[in-house]
Amino acid sequence: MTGWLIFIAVLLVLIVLFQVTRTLDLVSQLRGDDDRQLEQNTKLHATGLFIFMVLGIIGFFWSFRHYSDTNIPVASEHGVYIHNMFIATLIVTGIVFVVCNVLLFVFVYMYRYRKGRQAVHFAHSNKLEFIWTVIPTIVLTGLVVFGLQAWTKITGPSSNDALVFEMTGQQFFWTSRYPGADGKLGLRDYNLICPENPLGVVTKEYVEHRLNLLEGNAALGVMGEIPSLQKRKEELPALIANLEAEIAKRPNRYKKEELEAELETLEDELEDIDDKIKIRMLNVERIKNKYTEDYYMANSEAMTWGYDDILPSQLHLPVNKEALAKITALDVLHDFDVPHMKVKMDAVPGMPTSFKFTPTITTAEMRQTLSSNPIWQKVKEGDTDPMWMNFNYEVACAELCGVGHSAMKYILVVETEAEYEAWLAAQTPYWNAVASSLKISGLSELAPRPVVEEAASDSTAAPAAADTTAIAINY
Amino acid sequence: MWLAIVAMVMMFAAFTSAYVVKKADVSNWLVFELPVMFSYSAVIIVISSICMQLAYITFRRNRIGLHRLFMVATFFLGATFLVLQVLGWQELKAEGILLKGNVAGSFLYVISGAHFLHVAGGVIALLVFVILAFTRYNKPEDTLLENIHPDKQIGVELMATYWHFVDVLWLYLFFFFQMS
Amino acid sequence: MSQETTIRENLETHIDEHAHDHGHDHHDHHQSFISKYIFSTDHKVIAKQFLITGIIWAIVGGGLSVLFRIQLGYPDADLNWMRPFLGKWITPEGHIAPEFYNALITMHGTILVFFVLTAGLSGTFSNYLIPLMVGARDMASGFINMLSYWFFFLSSVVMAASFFLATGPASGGWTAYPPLNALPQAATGSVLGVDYWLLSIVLFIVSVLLGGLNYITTVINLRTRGMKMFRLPLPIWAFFLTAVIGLLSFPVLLSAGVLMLFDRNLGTSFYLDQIYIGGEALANAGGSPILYQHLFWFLGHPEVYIIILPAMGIVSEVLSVHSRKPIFGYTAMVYSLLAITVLSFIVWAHHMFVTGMNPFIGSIFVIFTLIIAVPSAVKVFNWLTTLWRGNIKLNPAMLFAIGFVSLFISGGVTGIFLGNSSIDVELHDTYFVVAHFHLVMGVAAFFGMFAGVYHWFPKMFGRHLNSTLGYIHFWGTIICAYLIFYPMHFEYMLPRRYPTHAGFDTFGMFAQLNEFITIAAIASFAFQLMFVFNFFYSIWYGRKLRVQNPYHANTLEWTTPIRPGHGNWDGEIPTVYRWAYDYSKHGRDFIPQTEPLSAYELEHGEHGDESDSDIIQHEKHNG
Repeated sequence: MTGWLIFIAVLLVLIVLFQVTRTLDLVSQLRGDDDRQLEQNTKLHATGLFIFMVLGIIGFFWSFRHYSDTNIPVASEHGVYIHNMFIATLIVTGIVFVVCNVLLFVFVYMYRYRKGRQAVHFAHSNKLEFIWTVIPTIVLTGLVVFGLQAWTKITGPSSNDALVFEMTGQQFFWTSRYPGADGKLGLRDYNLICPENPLGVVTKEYVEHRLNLLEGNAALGVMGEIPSLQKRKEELPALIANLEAEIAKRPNRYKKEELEAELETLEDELEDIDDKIKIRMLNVERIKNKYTEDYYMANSEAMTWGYDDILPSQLHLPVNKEALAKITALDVLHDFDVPHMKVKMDAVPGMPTSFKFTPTITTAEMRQTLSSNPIWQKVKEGDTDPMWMNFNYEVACAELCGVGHSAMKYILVVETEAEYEAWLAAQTPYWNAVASSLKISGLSELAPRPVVEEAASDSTAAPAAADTTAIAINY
Repeated sequence: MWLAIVAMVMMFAAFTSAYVVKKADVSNWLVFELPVMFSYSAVIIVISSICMQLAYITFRRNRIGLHRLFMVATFFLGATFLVLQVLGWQELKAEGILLKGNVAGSFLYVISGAHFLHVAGGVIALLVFVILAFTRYNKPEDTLLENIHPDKQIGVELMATYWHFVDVLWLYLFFFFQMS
Repeated sequence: MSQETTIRENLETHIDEHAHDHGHDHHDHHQSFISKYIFSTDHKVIAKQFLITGIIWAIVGGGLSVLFRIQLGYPDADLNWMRPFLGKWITPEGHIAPEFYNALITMHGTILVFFVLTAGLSGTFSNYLIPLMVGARDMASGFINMLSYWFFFLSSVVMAASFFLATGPASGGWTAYPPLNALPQAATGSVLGVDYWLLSIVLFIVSVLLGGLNYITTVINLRTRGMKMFRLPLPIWAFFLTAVIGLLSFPVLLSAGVLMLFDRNLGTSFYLDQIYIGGEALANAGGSPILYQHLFWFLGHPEVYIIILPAMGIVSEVLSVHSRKPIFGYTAMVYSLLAITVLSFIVWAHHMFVTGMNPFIGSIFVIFTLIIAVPSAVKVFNWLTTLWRGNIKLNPAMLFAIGFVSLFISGGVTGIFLGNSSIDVELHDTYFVVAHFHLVMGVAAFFGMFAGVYHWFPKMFGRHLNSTLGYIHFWGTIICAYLIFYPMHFEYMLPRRYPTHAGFDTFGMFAQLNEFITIAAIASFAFQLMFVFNFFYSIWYGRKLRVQNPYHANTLEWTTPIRPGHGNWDGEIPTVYRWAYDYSKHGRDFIPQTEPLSAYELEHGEHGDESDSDIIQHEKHNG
């Protein structure tokens, strides 16, 4: 009710305002002296524009002061180049911005309409035009040269001893991976991705496990996705028929709509189920085609790289050491964005990208710096400490990736070399975590596989697994 | 018309450059033989283009009988081209190159399909011109030079231009696929 | 081959007779309502159709932005009051559902870029002004022109229909990057919304191409006697080059869209490779999402110029007329337009610096991108000099033109940051980018459009807009525009397309600023509604135009009757003897293009010293 009253009140005010403006227009007509009217209007608005300009320029300079606290220290080596370029461009463009706008509004004020005055017929001047074609060209050339110097440094090859890690984006989280003791990231294959192997790392055992999950394995008591879908497909028509009969039995609308909705989902499921089965069968086909004995022979060394890979829950990087992020995505485009480091690179499914950077400020140092920043004094709800005490570098996603785009936060901790080593030593290879809980072939407690060709793989893979446990103990 | 052709050229340029770009960065690019039918259809469309030109020349010279003959010939050659294209796709399919398969195959289908649509549009227009050729100019005075309206002449000229365009386009596409 | 006859022949062969010869039949006014206002072939009516459809879309598009700004400014507010008209898109907690938020930004972008600033701006003014300013009875083909509008209309209908899909409209950004937009599993909007989106865009491309063909043909072939290319008013140059850009770039988007449709519906993998989504490893292999980005931006960047060139043209004309001075450096203005046209095709990859593209290619695009700033800078300086020592009449049209120059400067300078690949690493996909392109091609193009509407409204409808409301509209809009987009530059680390930034400590500090921007955005939207009211009210009840040439302008449209009929001029089409910018020449306020050169007068450009000597005369005159 109050809403309506407010609405009507606003409407009335608007009508009154409109009538006023109409009257103003009418009065100006009645006066008849259009030129005089125009002269007055012009003076009013030219003055207005002048004031607007003055306030604007004051606001322009004030805003830099006001927002200075939102700037954060640059925490990476190449970030400084970018920052310097930014400042240089800011100064150049800031001058252009102020000068051009001042000229614009001052000209409007100075040369505003006055009756009887005549404008100058000044149509062109080659000299002037030449000058202001050449000056921007020179200035821009300067910016291009410095910009490209920075660009080459940023995108240049990484040094050989750079710390390599991998970031994988998927809807809607990041997964990081470190190469472990051998310094080599295990190969990956998207066909092998399953809950136990979220990145699809390639080891012989994962290949078998994935096949088991898809095709089923009676010996292990795994139903398998394809058989269960096929079973479901056989069941569905009966379920649908039952439901239809049930609906037909109900003359009144009692709960009928619910049943109909249920029926619709079942029908949709039946419609899609063939596709689902097909996708999985193709998946099996691709896996079997690729991972032949020949393949294992040819890549025997690479097959072991995956065992000691680490999948930590946070990124940790040592300070002042170059890090090379290998960036990938599983489903759609993402973008690995670390605002403090000025790192940004798209994660593209099927096309690995990379970005090298050197963090220069540890998390602890950054907290210290921010402790004097008023913005970070705020205490968050449900928290007792001011925000700066819990500061962490945050990784975000900077390429629209769907519903959870704004939820792709990941923590990056920068610490001293010693701290980093300690943290790394505390990490266990991902393999250790899953191997015991998984019925993956290749672990000694598993019964021999019924499939002959796979049985052969057991003997070769088992020592490898044992190997990684040994390495894990070494940490 | 020329402007419209520019637009169409841009579209095909986009397709083919996409093809080139893709080819450069895909390792498992499928190398395939073009179906024989595509070479036949290239020959057919060149002949039809010549017929179209003859139809246009005879029209300008007011030889309506010959004009009709060449128009019909062009029309049937155009239709044959379409049939050959369909046969060519079947040949591709038999070889296991599917729309859904390797990107190389997908591109081949999409690009030749887009060209097919252009030719199909041309064949329909040809049909209109064939009908016009037979329904107009039946009275002897119609065939007098001054009675042929310049606009009508331009109609045939336009048809010829378009037909040469799809012809050259196919030759370009054919050699483009042949090269790569 | 003559283009005019070409198009006419197209009509004759493909279409029945009734479209024939419309353009020349201006004595026949006994048309039914439908043929006069709905399926009209009169370029003036079609222009108004484009304008009004554009305005309706602008309200929708602007309204969407208000919705998502409310979500951004007040992420914790209870928005349950929106439930009656947004239904399930409001979450039980009373927030805008994230998938709907994405749909809102996607639709906002698509609608404003394509429907409002392409169709509504260049569609309206190209249609309206080209025949009137070059001295033609109508477009080369009225029928194709009509088709162009109706394809646009169909495209609008399809886009509007996608709002009512159960799974919602497309929600993967206006750039529709795959795989997000190629896979139904990836987002609700990608289930069906993207198919609608693509269909709508395909129809829209057809519309733009048909329109563009007509504009180019008309400018080349239907100029009146004496209207040499270098006597054309600048808006016509701008519309002409806009159409050329459209003709060359939109077919590429068509290819991109067709390939996307194949990927979505026929199982091809042009843009898809090694994807694991929703627990399934898809069979697609060998494609590349980056390929789409190349194709898209090959259109997408020229599209920016398709939007801004007409605004530049309109502003050049308005500035010159109302400052009673010739546009400074006409030839330079034309050449800078040409330079922009050419360069616009070779800068597209600056949208893709951080996609993992080869850095060397990136550096080449840096160079081209910064080169394109030069013609833009030349234009700004020329506009400034046009004002210098003028006699500036500040009506709403002129105010908007001045506003355009200011916004173009302010938005343009930030382009220098973004075009430099190293700085772009930091700024890519942040609010800095949002601020940049909204100022330079969003609000600025709107200002150009407003300048045009205020300037030519009397010609279009035979009535004046209420100028007091016009002044209020100007002040409200320019103040709000700066209040919205200037502070946004300080959010240079804040990623775009987040419904809430609260999850991140670093981003949380902008909550207050976001709220402020939201308030300014809502106020700005209210001012636009006021303009819309003024627009429609004045069509029927505005003060009547009583003189033929209210601004004492030189161009040909003001030589037509106050309410021109179909065919524009009652008698013969006037002949042109001079360029359009002889203002304040030889002590005369204005000399229309139709006035022959006097015995000792030299035409503009015939020798370079004339203007200088004129100043000297002026100096003497003023003491």
